[in-house]
Amino acid sequence: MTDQEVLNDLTPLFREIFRDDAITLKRETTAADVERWDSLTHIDMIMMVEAHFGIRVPTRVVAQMKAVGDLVHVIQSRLK
Amino acid sequence: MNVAIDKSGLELYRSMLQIGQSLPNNADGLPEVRIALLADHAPQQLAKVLSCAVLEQGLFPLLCVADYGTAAFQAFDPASETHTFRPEFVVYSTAMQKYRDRFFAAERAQERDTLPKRYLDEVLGVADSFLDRGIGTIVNNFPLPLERMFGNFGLLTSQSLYGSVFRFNQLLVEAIAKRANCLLSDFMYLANGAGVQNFFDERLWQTSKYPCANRFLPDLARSAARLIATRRGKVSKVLVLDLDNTLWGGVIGDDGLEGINLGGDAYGEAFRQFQKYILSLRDRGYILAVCSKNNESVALDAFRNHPEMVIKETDISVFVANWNDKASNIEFIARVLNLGLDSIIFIDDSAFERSLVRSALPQVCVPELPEDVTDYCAALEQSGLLEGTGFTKEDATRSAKYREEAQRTTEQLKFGNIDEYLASLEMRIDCSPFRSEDMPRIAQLIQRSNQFNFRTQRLSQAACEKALEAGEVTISARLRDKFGDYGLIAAAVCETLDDDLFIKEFVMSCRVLKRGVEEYLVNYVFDQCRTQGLKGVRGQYLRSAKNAMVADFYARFEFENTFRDNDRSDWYLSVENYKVRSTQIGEAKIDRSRGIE
Repeated sequence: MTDQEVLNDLTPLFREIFRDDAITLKRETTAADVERWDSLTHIDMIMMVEAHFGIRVPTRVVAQMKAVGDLVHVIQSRLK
Repeated sequence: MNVAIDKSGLELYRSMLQIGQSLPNNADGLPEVRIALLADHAPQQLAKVLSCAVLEQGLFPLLCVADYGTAAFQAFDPASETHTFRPEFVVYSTAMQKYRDRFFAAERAQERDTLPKRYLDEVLGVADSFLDRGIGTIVNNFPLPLERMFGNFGLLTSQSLYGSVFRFNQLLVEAIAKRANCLLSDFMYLANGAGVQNFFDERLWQTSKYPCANRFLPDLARSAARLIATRRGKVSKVLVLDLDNTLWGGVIGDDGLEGINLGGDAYGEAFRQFQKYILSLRDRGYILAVCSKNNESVALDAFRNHPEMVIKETDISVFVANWNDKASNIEFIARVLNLGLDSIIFIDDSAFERSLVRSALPQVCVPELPEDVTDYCAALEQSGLLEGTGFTKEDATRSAKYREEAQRTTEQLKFGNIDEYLASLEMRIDCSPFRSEDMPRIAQLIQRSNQFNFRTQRLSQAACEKALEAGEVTISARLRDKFGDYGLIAAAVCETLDDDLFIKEFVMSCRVLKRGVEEYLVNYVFDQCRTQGLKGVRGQYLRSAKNAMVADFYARFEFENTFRDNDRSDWYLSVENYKVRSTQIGEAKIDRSRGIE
């Protein structure tokens, strides 16, 4: 999947979790850009991403994710 | 109510979370319940899911959520926000991972030995400060952790985390038994059911202090909500049981006493096993009732004469077997027992009946039942409906007492109007002359239908084809509703006699009784009669061992009785005197290649 394809898949999940239909994701998007993105909703988001893509996100990424790009990278590498 | 009966896992969690975080006003005027949540894990998401779970119990939650890890402060400071809130219930939710921190922090073996008792004292200290004020307090045990450290020996020593938690759980049970207002939320059972490896997710604990994978928060919340509802008096007392394919395999009206699956082979044994389980529920205090679409004598025959029946007639407090709709019958059972509908659990393998009862009687608890009898028990347990508050001597004898009471009651069944429900089923029927591709199924239906069968002529496939070729009126009907396709459910072969249409063979599957299909078919017969320029319809009933159900069928449609003896009755009704019956069934559009659309 290309970056954009992954971002297109992620966008509706983010909009649901963080309850904001205006969210538009880029690789550079961070928690600071999204209202309601805190440590708890972060986990809910990760779990939704796992269920959606059928992958497991490793603890390192769960804990140290800086921007959406980190997640995109994990998804791409796990789906290979 | 159940917000998401068709959801599970993460999807269920998401929808409960959404409902919980955007609680509407209490517009329906539900009884309110004040709940304080204390947690030594992140409480926010659990609080939202708990709100939803309380709502599911028909109560409106007013929640006070203490900050993470402030339980002791909340408990011991009389001016804390929890005490100021004046809760009716406190949910003190504790995470095994916190216990684990203490276990790993212990520096000596002796410290680990005494940890279960010391930790218990801390939990009880918090709980007792609420219990002493008369507040119902819910505490939980711990799922048994994966850290066994000694392999199989782990359970035998308090030097393993696993063994230590096991001991803590045991001490907790003993302590709760001595405290009237203290309620146990059994996390250990919930995690067992889920599988401990699924239940815990270390990533979630490390990152955000979730006590378990978030998809299991609904289980924790519902467990607490049920305890609260039970304390508020919502207790189920009656199990209303279907018979065919619930207590035994097969349909006794069609298959006969010897034909049902009960005992004998593995399949029949599975039903016996389920009966044993049901009987154990009676012994623990449930009143048993039967609600079955059957002739009463046929249904009772199994209880009296089937050697493999585990449940006996005397175990049943109210026995209702007839052809009325089940919602009316359940109302009848509630009246006979003089118990509320909300104390009834209805157990039936048929999705149709479950849906009918849910829709007509929303107070009745109707757990989903899986397709396979071997899964019935697990489904009932997981439904969470079998919540009990204790066990007394009265519990053990309640069923017998209610049976006597019920026998004194002579109230008659009241028929309910279910048109609205039937309309909601969106039934579609396709009536047509026999089609060649349907012939095998038509022949099979004629061979196998015993109850809805007027003359039991058992016309062969060849005879059916001959009638069709001769230009006689033949009718086959397919039915579907919003739950699915029933396939070909009725067949009739008629014969022109003078100026009348004689119904020579008429069979229908009992699965579709009482939904207006009979009315639709009789309308259709008279339509055909009129189209053919004939004057009236002649019907005949020939008694068989199993077709008592249709003995009065023609009378119901106001046919004139022209002959009657013990084993036979003849009926006639002219086209002009026939009153077209209204039904809630529409005509199906047919795509031959794809079945009913």
